Amino acid sequence: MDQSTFKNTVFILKDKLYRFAKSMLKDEEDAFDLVQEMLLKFWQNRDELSKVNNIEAYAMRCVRNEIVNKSRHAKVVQLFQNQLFERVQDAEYPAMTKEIILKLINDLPEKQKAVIHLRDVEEYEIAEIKEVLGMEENAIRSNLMRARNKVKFELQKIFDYEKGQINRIGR
Amino acid sequence: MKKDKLTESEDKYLNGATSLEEERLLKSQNQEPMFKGLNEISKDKMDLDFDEFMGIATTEKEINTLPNKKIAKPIFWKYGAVAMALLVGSLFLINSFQTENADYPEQEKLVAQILKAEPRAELVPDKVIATAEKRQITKAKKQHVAEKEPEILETAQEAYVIVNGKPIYDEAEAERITLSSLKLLASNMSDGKSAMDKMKYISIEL
Repeated sequence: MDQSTFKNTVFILKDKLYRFAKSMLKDEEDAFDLVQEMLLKFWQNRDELSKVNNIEAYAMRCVRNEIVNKSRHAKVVQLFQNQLFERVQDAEYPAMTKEIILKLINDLPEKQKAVIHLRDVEEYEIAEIKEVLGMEENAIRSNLMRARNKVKFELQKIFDYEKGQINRIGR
Repeated sequence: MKKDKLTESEDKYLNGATSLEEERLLKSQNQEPMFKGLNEISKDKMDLDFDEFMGIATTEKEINTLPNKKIAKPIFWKYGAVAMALLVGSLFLINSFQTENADYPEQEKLVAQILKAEPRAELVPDKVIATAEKRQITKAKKQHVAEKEPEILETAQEAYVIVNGKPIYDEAEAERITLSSLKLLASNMSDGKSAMDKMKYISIEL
């Protein structure tokens, strides 16, 4: 695999990989470093990579596996969760909607987090999600449903609270 | 009517029953913060240029290759140093062994000269006599056994003395070797004594 082929088949996936990592890892810098690291690994093993049928699914799976390993560092995760929570609390409504949704997705269980991201952010078909995560279709759909409802419910709660605060100040 | 359709699509979406096309339509038309937020998230980009990445990849490659060379050198020198140490050690051992062997004949010659000068009967050590007597007793025992077992008679009849791990059948020869050994021991003792005498001239200050 030459440089041009790598750029058009693997490097082109960087944004998807980055978004996926960001939604799973909670820290933008960690996500950036992880994806860059993965891209370097892909580049170093580019000859092996050319034998893979679905490079995108393979790359996403690699990123997910790497994230699962990294997520075991619970202390780091907890620390960033606290920082993000402070940032969200201080945020101006509704400028931080994206951050709030990211945080809500981050707080979901592992499977729900991966499924909602791949479907609602990356717009993957169920079959593609199945390939990346190795889950059954029914499990994917039920995880997707739970994840969407939870995000929607939590988001609604935050927005209702914010509206209440604004109305109270207005009186 | 349009609003009802949107609400219906949203419910379907929340139940995970929508197709990708329906979801795209919903995200583009619905003003709900959730869809707005998801749209924003899907536009996030990683700020990494391909040329920049290739620069990092090249640097990474150089970093990865450099430590290997650094590690390889000390290992090579360690092996080299061990081999040298073993070689020097073995040479020293061989040399000292040869020196010991070389010294021994000279001392033996000296002992032989002393033996010629002194009468043999006076210098026969008690230990050798005792050993010879013991061998004679052993011979007698063997002769007694030989009466019972005639098949080992021929081998058991020969008396010998073991000096320095070698059987000596000739009694005179055994005496001579033992005596020379004792003379050698005496010579070494006198050398040691003269060396100890020199200790008188050593002063130690603390």
